[in-house]
Amino acid sequence: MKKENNKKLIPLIIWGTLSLSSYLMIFLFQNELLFYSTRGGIFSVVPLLFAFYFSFVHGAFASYLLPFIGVEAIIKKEAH
Amino acid sequence: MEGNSMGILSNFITLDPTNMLFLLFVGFVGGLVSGFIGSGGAFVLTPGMMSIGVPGTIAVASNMCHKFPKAMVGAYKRWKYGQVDIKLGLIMAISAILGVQVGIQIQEAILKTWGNAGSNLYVSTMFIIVLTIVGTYVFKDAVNMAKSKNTKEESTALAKRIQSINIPPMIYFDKIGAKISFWVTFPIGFCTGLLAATIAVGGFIGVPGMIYILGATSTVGTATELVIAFVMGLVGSVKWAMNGMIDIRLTLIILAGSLIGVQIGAAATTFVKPYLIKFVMGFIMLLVAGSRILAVPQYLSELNIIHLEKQALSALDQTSFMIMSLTLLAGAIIIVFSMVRGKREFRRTSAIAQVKIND
Repeated sequence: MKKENNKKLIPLIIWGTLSLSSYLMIFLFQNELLFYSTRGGIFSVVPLLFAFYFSFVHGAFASYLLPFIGVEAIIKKEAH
Repeated sequence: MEGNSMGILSNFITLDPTNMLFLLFVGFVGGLVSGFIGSGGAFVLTPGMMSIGVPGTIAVASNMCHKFPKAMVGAYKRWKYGQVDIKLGLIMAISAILGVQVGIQIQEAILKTWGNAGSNLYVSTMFIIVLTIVGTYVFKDAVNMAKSKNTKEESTALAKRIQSINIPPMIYFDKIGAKISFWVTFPIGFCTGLLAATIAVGGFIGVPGMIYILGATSTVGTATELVIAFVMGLVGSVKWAMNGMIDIRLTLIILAGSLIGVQIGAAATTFVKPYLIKFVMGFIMLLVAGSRILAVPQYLSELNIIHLEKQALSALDQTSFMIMSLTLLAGAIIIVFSMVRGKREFRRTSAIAQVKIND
């Protein structure tokens, strides 16, 4: 039981740290980020890439966090 | 300000801990609601951002950019629960993209002609019209469903009539279990896109459209909407990004809260009765409409159409903000509470089933 909890805790900590440090970087360099992300043209990919990156990293963190705090769906499967 | 020396437009707000926390909270509740009722937490987020001074156009653009990755996560979760009709989602999404293109042209024209105040007035007016009409209908339906104690959803008479229309191409949707003409799905998709580009919430047409016109259940309708939201959000965001309208800082703060919220909301749908999803949808729609009505005098006054004392304007503004916040909070409490209750009931019934098996 304890081993299983540890197995879930490690990815949670890794993704959590990655997500938090990415957010920290955003706010340290917010002016630069805003400058480049609002230039249009080829720079249009900047906000989109950031949105994808954060949804992946932070989404993964959320996916590990929620079952950990007891939030899980009932998956209704057909009985065979 | 340091920002200005880097050439940052005055359109972008300065972030302080208070408005950051507010955005995080709004993002969480927006995500919770959108995971639960399918259509964007954007109707909560756009006014939420506008209430801390973000201009309407930037609020809509930044919202759209946070919406597509969130919708992607939500759609994937709900697809795993077997609730998504992918074919319907993709057909609606392609129609919606056309609608988005037209909607963005309208927004740009308004911004050019009347500036930020004109744009704010337009976004708010559209909110009020759509939310009041659709919200009333959804709310009435939820109340009727709850009263009849019939927990099983049935297609409306309108949906049955629509399904009998036979104009090719006819397409079979397996989650609805019926063949429907492309010429019925196309206008619903187009209007969904048009509204999405205008107020960043296409789902207010898409979800009720799928439920009441096409005959999908509320679970399938809300889940399929997430596919539409993803495709449409991606295309719309590219266009807004080209115009340099996305405040990526706001997008990412909202994303932080909403990615957690959307997963809780999606899980909650598996614990509650369908009428509750509709009840929450209608309840929130009507209260947000009320809050936006109070914001209109300020925009009218900025456009010099009416003249109001500064004190009166600020009182209206504060009341509008309070209604918004309380609505969010109430919506979140209803969802979380019903999930906890549903979960407890589920545990009890599975325990009883287990005892019976053992016997």
